[in-house]
Amino acid sequence: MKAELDLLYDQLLVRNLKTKICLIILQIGLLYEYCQESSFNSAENIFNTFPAMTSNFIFQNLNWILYYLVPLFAMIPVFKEFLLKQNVFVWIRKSNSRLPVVLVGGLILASSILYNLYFWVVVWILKIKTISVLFIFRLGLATILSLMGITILILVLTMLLRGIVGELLTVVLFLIVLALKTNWAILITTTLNLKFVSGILVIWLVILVELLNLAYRKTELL
Amino acid sequence: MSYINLKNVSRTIKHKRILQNINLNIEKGTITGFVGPNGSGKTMFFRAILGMIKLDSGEIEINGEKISLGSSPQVNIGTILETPGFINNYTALDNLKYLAAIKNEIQEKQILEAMQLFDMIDHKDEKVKSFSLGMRQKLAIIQAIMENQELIILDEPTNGLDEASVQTFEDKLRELKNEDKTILIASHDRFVIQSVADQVYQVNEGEVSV
Repeated sequence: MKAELDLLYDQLLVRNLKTKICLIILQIGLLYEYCQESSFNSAENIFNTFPAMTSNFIFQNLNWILYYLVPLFAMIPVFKEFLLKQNVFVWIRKSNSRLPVVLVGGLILASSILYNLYFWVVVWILKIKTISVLFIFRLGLATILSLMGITILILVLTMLLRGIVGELLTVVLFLIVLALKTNWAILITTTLNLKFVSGILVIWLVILVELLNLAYRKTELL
Repeated sequence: MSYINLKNVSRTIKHKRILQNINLNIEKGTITGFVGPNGSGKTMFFRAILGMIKLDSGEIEINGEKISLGSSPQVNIGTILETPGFINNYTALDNLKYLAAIKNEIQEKQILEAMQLFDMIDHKDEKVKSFSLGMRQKLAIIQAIMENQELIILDEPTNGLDEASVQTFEDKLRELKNEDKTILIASHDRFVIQSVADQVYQVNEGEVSV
C-alpha cells in the first residue's frame, strides 16, 4: 500500500510538470484575486493567516498554502536525489565531510531567494501603487528563512522515514500550525513582529542544518 | 587475527534477504574473490564492508575497527562500486587530481605513474565525457590504487576492459598483493577471479559460501 502511494505521489505530483505549471497558474490567479480585494501590509497579508475558527480555514488560507507548496514540489526531490547520490570515490576518501550538507544548504538558500524574488515581484506588480517596498523586504527576508527551514525539515523527514511518510507528517504539521496560528514552528502565520519571527527562524535553521547533517549520516547509500 | 572480520552479518530490504548470516575472515595481504550472478548481493556485501548500509544484525571489523553506517574505516581504502562517478567535463588527469586533493597525500607524479601503467597517459588531457566504458573503467582502477591504498575493494573491475588491459590489471593485483595490500574483488566472471584470487567465495542470494 505504501509503495503504491509513493508511486502515485511521485507520478502525479513530484515528477509531473503539468501539475507544477497548474499550481503556479493557480498561485498567480489566487494572488491576483487577493490583491484586488485586500490590502498587503503588516496587519493584512497572506502570511497573517485566518485562524481555524471555521471549517473552511484551509480555503481561506489557500494563498499561504500555495506559497509553501509550489517550491516544495519542485525542490525537495532535487535536493533529496542530490544528497543520496553520493560519489563513492569522494565518500570513501572523506566520509565524515560536511561538504554535501553544506552544498545542499547553499542550494536551498539560492532556491529560496529565487522563489521569493518571483513571488514578491508578482505581489509588487499586482499592488504596485499601494505596497511598501520596505515591508516587502522585511517580510521577504522572513519568508526566505521560513522556506529554507521547511525545505530542510521535509528533507530530513523524507530521508529518515523514506517515501511518502515524511510528506504526510509535513501536511499534519501544516494543519497544526495553521490551526494554532503559531510562529514557533517554522511556518509564518503572523507578521506583526517580523524581527521576533526572523529570530525564531534563525534558531530553527541552526537546529535543522544539524539535523540534516545527522540524517545524512544515518541514511544508507544504496 | 584476521584483517577483515564479519560475524553473522545480515540485511533485509523490502522483505528480501540481501545479506544472509555472513561469517568471514580475510587475512591481510591476500586477494579474495567473490563470484556470483548479477543481483546476488556482491555489491551490497561490499557496501556493508564500506559502512554505507545499516546491518540488521552482525558485526564487521576492519583492522580491529568496528564499522557502522556513516563511518567508513580509518584505513586507506580504494574502491570501485558499480558505475564510476567521474566529472564528465573534467579531463582524466583533472578528475584524478581532484580525488587526490581530498586526502592530499600524493603528487601529480604518482598519478601520472599510475596512468602510465594502464596506458592512459596519452588520454590524460581528454575530457572523461569522450571516454569509452573501458577507458572509464581503467580510470576507476587507477583512482583505486594510485594513493597506495591498504585495502582495495573492486566490484566488477574488468567491465569493458580489453584482454591486454585485463592482463595488466591482473599483474598489478599480484604486485599489490606482494606489497601486503588486501584486495577484495567481485565479478560475475569466474575466470578473472580464479586467475588472481587466493580464495574464491560464491555469492548467491546474499549467502557467501566457499
